[in-house]
Amino acid sequence: MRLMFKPLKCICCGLCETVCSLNRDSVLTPMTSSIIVHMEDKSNYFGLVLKTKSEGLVICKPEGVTTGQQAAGSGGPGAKPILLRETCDLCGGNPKCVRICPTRCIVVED
Amino acid sequence: MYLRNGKVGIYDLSSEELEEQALPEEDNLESLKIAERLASEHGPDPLLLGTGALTGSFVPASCAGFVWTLNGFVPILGFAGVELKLSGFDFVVLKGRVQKPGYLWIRDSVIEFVESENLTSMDTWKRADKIRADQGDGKIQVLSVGPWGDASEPASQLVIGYWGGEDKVGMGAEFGRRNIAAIAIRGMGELEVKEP
Repeated sequence: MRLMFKPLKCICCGLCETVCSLNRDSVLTPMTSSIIVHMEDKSNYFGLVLKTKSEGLVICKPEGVTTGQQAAGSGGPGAKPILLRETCDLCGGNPKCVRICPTRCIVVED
Repeated sequence: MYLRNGKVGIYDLSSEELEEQALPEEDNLESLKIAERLASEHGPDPLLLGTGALTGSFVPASCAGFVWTLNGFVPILGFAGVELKLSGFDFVVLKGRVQKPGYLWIRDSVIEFVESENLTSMDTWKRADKIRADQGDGKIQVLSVGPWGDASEPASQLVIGYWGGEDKVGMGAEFGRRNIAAIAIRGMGELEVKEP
């Protein structure tokens, strides 16, 4: 079971970040999530970065999804760097980001 | 306090001093009424930034905050309302007027005024770019006015980030009267939830 992304559907709402932190730390904040929204709002360009145990960083750009990279995350300089964050544990088999994503950009693949 | 920081920041633009006030735990749902009460307490003509009780939660459209003056209010959509709430303040009251042009920098329960002469010759996009480059963070949300706002033209508009143009009351003139070129907000805090 793994998460699959359709980055062209992402609207950069940030719900996946918030629900991930809520699941980990029981608080609402985008600072400690395993998934990070990358936005360049001037060019209307959105993407997602997910930290996984098996594949390293999964970087989802509108051009396509790449895995295994060790690039820096884009949570901003004050946020916890993605290399120090916890890896995605799929919420114990029922990923909350999949349930909350309004555009079904994140889906589960068996 | 759940879903609130329980803190109001009162910043005097003339003396550049920050004062904090606790937000009462009861009766904190109607944010516009709270804004009116804060305005009457810290008058005569303050400018308020505010957030709703659900700002930053999962409720649809809960990203919104607002800018309030005696002439009306403007909703601030996008990420600016959420960032304001995560910066540690539920409401920010700005009193008085600054002497030199510059922008207000709100983050981590700190409000400071940063002098910047160069900003006055720029449009809103360039102001957002410059503030993000100066502070080194691409996720800073910038509420800015253009040169017409600096000149206090009644029809000048407040722009949120690059695209947000929800202003219908000429809030740019209110910024211009107080000599504020922009307000930059970055929130790195967290909000407690009662039953996560």
